[in-house]
Amino acid sequence: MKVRVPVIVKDPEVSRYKGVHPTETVEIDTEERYLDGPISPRVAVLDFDPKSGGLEPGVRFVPPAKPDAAGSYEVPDPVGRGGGEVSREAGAVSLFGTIHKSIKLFEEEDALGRRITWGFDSPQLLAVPRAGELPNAFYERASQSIQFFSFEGGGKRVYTGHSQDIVAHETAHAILDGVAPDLYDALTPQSLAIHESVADLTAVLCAMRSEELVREVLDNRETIGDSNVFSGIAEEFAGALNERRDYLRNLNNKKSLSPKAPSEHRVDRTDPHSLSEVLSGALYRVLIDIFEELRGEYHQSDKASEEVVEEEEASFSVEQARQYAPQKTSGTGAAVKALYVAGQRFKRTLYRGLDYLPPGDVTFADLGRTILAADQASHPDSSRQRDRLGDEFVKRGIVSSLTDLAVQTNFSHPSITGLDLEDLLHSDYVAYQLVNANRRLFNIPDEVTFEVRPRLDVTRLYWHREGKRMVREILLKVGWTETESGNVTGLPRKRRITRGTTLAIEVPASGSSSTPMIRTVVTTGQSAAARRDRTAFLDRLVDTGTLRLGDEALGPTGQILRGAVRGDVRNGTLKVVGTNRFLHVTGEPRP
Amino acid sequence: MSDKLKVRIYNVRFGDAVLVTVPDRTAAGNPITRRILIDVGNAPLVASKVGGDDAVFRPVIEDILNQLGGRQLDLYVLSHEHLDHAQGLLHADRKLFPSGEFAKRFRVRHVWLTASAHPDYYESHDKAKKQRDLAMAEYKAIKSYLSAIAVESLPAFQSLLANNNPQSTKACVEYIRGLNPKRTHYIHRGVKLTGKHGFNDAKFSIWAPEEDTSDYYGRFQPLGLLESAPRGAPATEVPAPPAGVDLGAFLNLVESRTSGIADNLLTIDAAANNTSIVFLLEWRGWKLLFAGDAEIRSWKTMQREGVLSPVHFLKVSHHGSHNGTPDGDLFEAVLPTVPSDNRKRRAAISTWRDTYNGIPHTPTDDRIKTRAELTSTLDDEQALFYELEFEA
Repeated sequence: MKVRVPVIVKDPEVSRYKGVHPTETVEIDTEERYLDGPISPRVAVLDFDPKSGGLEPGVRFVPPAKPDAAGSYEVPDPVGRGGGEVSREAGAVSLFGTIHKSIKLFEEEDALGRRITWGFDSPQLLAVPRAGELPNAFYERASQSIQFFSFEGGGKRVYTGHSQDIVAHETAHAILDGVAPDLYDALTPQSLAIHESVADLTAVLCAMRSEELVREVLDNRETIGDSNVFSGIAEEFAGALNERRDYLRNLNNKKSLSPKAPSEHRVDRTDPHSLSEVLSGALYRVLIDIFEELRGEYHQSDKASEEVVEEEEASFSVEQARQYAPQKTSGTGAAVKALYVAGQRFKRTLYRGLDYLPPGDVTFADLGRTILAADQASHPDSSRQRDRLGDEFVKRGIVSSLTDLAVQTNFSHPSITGLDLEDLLHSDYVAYQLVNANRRLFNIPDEVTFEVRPRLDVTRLYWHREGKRMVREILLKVGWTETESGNVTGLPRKRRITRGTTLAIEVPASGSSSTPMIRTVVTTGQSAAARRDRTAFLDRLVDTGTLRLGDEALGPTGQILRGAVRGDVRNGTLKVVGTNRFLHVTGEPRP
Repeated sequence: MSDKLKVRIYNVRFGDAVLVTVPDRTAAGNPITRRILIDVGNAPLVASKVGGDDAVFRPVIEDILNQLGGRQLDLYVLSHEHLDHAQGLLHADRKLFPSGEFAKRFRVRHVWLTASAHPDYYESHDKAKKQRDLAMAEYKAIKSYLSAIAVESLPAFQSLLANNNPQSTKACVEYIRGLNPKRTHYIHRGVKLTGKHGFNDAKFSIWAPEEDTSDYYGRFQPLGLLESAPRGAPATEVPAPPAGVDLGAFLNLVESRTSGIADNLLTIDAAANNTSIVFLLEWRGWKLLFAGDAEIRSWKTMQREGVLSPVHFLKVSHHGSHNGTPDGDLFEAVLPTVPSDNRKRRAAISTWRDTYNGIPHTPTDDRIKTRAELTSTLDDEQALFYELEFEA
């Protein structure tokens, strides 16, 4: 069933001063049914009255007149041009639409190519548009929810749930928790920063799907490099917190891990939000570069060179691209096409890279390797994005050289030749036997016990010189724990961290005589810098009183404290879980 | 006169009352016995009839008065402004003796209060005031919320609510200040102690708190209460889930919206604990550390300021919680694996069961036992006190 809902473009403040229409319509066609709320099988908006705590009646669903038409929600006071108050009904419907828009980005066949599952044991994400008084918003696994608070700032009440950036950001946290659940318990600050970075980049991709914003950018300039419409995150929110602040974060940045970087570009390595700006900045730079290169080429011809994109990836003409938003966009067809193609390519390799992430504590370099592996698998013949990404990672001090990003892709291996892949998919025993017999392939240390995770069965759209085709892959993930040392005040010196390996196997097409290939095998890296970062991060958790050991993580009622990161000490070794109990849009919960 | 320093730890159930008897000398060099009383209090009765049984105060107070033998107490130290450390003397004055009699018998030469207990403290410390105001607003909102609902878990919060009740604590602190207003001193690390006690042989070093207490506050968790005044008044009935939403998930969400209450009460509690006066008493080679209820933020600050050093006696902080005696290098600094000399090392806990979650904490007890002989009020629950002696 389909439903069409109005969603707020960017946020009410940006649409007002940019002069764009404050809402645009999003069509949701992935759900079986829709109910008052809005509610779908996978998302429920629950609007609690901030005055009484009672639950407001859901916004009424209007079913479609014909079976193949789209339904709608009854919003008595739609948000009009020029802004004004956003009614609670308009806010709830916009929230619902933006969440589904974000989900769709991940699920498209050229991205994950599968329906996402949440990081909690339930099919439905609960969304609370008016959760209380706080300049923040968060995803919380324990309550299976994303919660949006409001606060007084800049002379008005600012609702975080009215910001498309913030909603997309929190939805991405919820989705990523299902894709890479180990990040929730990670001790490595870069693991947590990956969560923040992916959340911010999802907000960017959501904004790039807005015709209003595309028009705003491409009408006024041909480039995205000198516009902050896409890269500036949560503008209204940031301005209300501090009038001298333009954005919560700007992804168009030069943030760096290099100790040689100018001080204004350095970040706090123990603060996931600050740290995330390095990764987001690097990836966003790659997006800009690919866009710029494509735009230049499309000015000359309908076809870009094969080093940049596969031909089939952009198999529509520049003139067709101008039809992308014919009445609205006066920008050139070359720029419109470049933005679309670059955005799609960027999205699919980022999200597929996430799917390839090995279990455990991962770093930016690990994600870099999985993105490169995903890009290599999806687009074997066009390497420009991979080259750019490698250069950017080196430039920003994420890795010291390109060899740190080396990853093996597309090779055969005797361990899977002749293996019944259906058995591998469904039998834990077969999976265990495969891993145990091939510890070296999986980089599992001797004498270490490991855990085989449920296999993922995905079918995705790939591009090769011969054209595009659907490819089926089985993702096999294995995790294990290792002990390391680090001196943190008040804690034992030894601690356990999780490492792991992902093995991606391409399943030969039905009826094909070819043997299965290993798409890639990626293991979490080990570095002294990451270990030092973990020590510093633990120190920060202790310092803020967030880390609580054993029963001290329990409140007076015996339930685990809501904000506690729990540590358990066994045989003198510390194990920490729940470092991501909250995934906030900002690390500053109170001004 | 005995030539032993004695530390008498009274069994006040969940609270502290410690009398230290110190052989000392007068200015002229003559032997004299001086006494320090550190805290008298236990958990609020309203919160815990188990740990907060006020009946225990009568024999404790009578023993203290007997020990004083009609002489003035040389120094009273209120470690911090929590009822389980502060309410005993006011209780004695109002409930145990005819009007005015306790004040006549219990006279004090010097009173030490933590720096932030000064009546004008928050007027001169803006940063700490902001934190304190935020904490008090949170306290009021939570109290208002909890009083508006009837939930099974309510009794579990009463200990924290009552112990941190600013009104109750204020009355106790004012009473203690009134014991000798002219010689009530506000103590923090770095304060000059000249004229603030009368000891000659015994030396004091103040390890904590810092004068600026703003760093002792942690973060508060978001609560789904109200967005405008009066914050806290919630719906008293749990709403039903709409069609299409799983009942269990919905109720879980509703509960989670206020589940940060415990976190926030503990944050308020820890902030006050961290203002504890932590002092080292050095006497004829012995080093005795009295740590109040200092938690990890305070210990980390002490370490950063370089004041931590090995001791022979540790009055274990915060009734034996893990946060009161952090592990690792902090623990090593105070009770190192290899002792700094041949003197026996001892530690003492004043605690009670079933009053606060996670206290006492067996792993912490076990850890302390690896470094020192540990004694606890739970070793003999019927005993009025236990006493440790330190020979000259």
